[in-house]
Amino acid sequence: MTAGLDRARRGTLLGLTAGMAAPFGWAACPADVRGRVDILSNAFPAMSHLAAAAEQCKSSQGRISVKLTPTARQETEQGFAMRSRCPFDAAIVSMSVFSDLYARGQLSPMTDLYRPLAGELEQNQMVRVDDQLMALAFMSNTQILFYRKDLLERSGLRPPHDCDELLMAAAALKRDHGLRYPIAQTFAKGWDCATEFTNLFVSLGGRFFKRGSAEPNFQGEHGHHAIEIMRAQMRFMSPNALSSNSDDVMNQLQQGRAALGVLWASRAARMDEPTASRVVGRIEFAAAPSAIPRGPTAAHLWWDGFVMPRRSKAPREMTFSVLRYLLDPTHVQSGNDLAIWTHSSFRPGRFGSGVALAKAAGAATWPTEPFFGIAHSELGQWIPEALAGEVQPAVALQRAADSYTRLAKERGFLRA
Amino acid sequence: MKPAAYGVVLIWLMLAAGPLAWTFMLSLRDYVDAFAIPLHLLAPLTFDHYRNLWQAGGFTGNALNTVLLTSGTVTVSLSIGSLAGYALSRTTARWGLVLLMVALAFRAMPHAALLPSFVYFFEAIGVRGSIFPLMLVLIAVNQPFTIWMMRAFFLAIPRDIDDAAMVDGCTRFQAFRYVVLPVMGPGLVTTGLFSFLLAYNDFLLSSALTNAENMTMPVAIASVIQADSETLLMQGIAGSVSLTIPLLILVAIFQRRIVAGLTQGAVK
Amino acid sequence: MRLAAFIQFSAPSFGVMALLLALPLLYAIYLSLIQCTDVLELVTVRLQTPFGIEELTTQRAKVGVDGLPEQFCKFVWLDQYLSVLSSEFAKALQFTMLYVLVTVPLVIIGGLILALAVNQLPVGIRGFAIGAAILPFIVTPLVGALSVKWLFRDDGLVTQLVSAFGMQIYWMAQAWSARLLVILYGIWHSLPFAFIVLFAGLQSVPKDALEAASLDGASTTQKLWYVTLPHLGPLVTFILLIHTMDSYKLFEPVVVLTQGTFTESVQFVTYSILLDEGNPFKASAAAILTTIGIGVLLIPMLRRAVREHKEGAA
Repeated sequence: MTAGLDRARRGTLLGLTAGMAAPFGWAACPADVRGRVDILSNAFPAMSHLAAAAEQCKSSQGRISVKLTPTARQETEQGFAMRSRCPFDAAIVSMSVFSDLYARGQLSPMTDLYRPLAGELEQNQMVRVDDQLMALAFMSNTQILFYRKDLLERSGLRPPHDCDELLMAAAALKRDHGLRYPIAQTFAKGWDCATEFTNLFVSLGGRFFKRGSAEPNFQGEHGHHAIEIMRAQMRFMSPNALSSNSDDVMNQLQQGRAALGVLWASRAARMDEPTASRVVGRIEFAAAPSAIPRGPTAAHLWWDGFVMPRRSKAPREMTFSVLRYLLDPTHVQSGNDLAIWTHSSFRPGRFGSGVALAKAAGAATWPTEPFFGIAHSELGQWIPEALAGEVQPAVALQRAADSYTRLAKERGFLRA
Repeated sequence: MKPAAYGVVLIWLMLAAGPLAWTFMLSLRDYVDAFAIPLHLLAPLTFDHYRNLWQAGGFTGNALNTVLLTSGTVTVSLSIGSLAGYALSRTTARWGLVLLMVALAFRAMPHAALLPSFVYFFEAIGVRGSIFPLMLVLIAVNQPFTIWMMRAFFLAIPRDIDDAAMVDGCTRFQAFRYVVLPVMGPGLVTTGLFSFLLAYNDFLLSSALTNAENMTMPVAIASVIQADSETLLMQGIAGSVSLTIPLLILVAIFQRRIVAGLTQGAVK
Repeated sequence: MRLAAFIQFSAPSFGVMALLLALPLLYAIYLSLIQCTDVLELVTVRLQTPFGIEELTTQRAKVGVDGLPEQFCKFVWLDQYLSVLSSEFAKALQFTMLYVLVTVPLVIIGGLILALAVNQLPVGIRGFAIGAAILPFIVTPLVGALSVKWLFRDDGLVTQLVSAFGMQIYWMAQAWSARLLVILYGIWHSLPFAFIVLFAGLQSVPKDALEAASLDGASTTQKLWYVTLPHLGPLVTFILLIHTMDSYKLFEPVVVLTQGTFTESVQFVTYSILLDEGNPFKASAAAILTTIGIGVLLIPMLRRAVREHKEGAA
């Protein structure tokens, strides 16, 4: 939607609730909570699980209140931007929101708070910028290929490793099984399309910005090539491809209308949900096909974690001890299948190996430059025009670069 | 003519109620049946979405917010709007007409034009997201047509009544409060209904000026629908139906009032 | 009414309007002329994440002594307006105008047909018919738009029914169908209003004129054309005025059905610049342009309304 809702289109891993916690129980509550500590998050199952953990610590002296809302991104941006106190003491953010908040100087470093506890957290749980501890990452996500194992096997194919193989597999599935639109991709105009473009562009080896500056560099040949690949895939996709977001792609896979699609790893478990899916047990996962043969996978690695604002009402030490409590490995173990946790005690199941697959295939981390977000949204407006054939790819990319330049100047990233 | 008339009415009733009826049907199905390809006529019914929405989803909180917002808006708006409407109905001076036209101009103003100022200002003073600034804004936005409507109703009451009361020693306000207002029941109810509708149905201002804990029902519905999860989408559909049911009841009870209100300004 | 009393009675209401409707508009003019940005510095940092360590050259806000990022504001005069006009606003204004101009006549004609039809119904069922007929107008516009969306989604009822006839239309995926859908929603939503007003007008058609016409041997159509319609004239003007005002505020269907793809509205542009781009200054420029737009549309109509009101009162 408009209104800046969290654009990380990741759904649920499993529709399980905190009932999972029973066998492992909860960690010991922090002793020093007085009054209320407010944490803001969006409503994914892993966050619900942590919210349930927070509920356990309600006492007469204090409580931890985790607010779960789909509009968390907008709330976070508003709250952290307040020049007076932020209404929240901490928030769970995706890495793109982190990059934005960090660049605006709205985060409070936690280095001093962690120093006395050195060694308690694993490296994988810490996000540091130049030795300043800026965020505590607890889960990760990426895009992977979802494919119908049964149909591919019947056609004698293995899961495609690159985009050429993807097209060949699609053609074969269309011929052998009568699937009109075997591929489903999240090409919806806006955030989704730009993300797919980014995946392919980086897989081709493209650089978004000129080295060391914020000047756009995506309108060159790698950009063209990425658009070409997307157009080739669209020949096997529903004519409504440019309105397909993650929900639509998931629906097409679940209803058996599509057999190949790149989607968020966190959505894997929904394929086996009987109230939503007709293809229970028939979908398998692999690394997203790379743009060129033997190239890195066309996917990016994402993390989610806790951040603290510059100014809030609860004392920082108290907030930090609450975050330590929520990061306790007990909660990872009790909610093992709810997310792809970063802590080493996570045991990836059938649906939890997405990040490992992507990492092994050479996935890059999502770009962290704060001005990347502007380029991303401009590309999301113009790439669909090129895909629909309304505008030449070169023109679309140039227009995106021009409006990016204008907006970057407004924000101050480029000299006016 | 008659069969054609019946035909036309029937077609419109189907078009009018169709989308709403279909939404109701969707709310009683699981996602896999609601948007299945191809659609089935019959599908297992489920009340899960309503249960999840109201119990786990916190929709009760949103409903309370809506109640708070609408009751506050309607009471204050009617009070000050009636005063102004009365004054405008009892004046023959030139500025009466001017002020009426000013009110009309305000009614035309798109709400989004006010948003940047409100957002910037409320954020600067740290109240953005709380319900009271939103209530004030809605009261203000409500005034133009409240004034017009109440004025039309007051015009229907002959001036002689107030004049007689004032001759008997009442002040203007006492005449208003004790003589005119008691017979304004229908007018107040009608105008109140439209005030209520404006606050209850508002989406643009509410979504921009409330934060997560103060969301009204429409805002909550919009946010779950965009949240990329089928469970939340189905809850949003249940929420849409829940939001509409009070309106259906209102229309059933107050249908005549609503018609009277809509024609008030027209048949001057 | 004495001046003192008049002022006392109307002050609260007009005071609230001046404070919350007029003042923000003036403030928006000020905001539209400036731009505030963070002061940025170029840095090269070592970023360590769960995925490894990388060297990153990036820009971040310079933080002042008070721990808050430094900002500087300057007057950019008409830059914001030029920026807004050269990006989405022109298209948004175009579609908003198209929407207004197309829905107005269709709403009035449709409302008239429905009013004439309901007028022929026996009084007993009229109440029910009217109640059901006005639902699209009473229902929350957000819910109305969503209901339409769920019907016309890729896997929605209408799409599947249409495909049973061999045509596969993805309504939200191409310009003509998306625009048509928004316009259809607009007619669906506003027709009841025109219907009610015209229906009430039909109740007050002078009976003697109709009888005289019948005695003169006029047919139903002639009676309609020469007696009823002229009587409804002022009501049509009223509907024209109100519907233009309200349809200019097009917002919910754009947000719900298309999120600004193919169909943009002026309110939507202001809203999205404010909340998506996070630029209240540029949004204020859009807000002012939006207000100018409705002013241009309405001033001729308002002038006529004032004139008619004066004539009516005289």
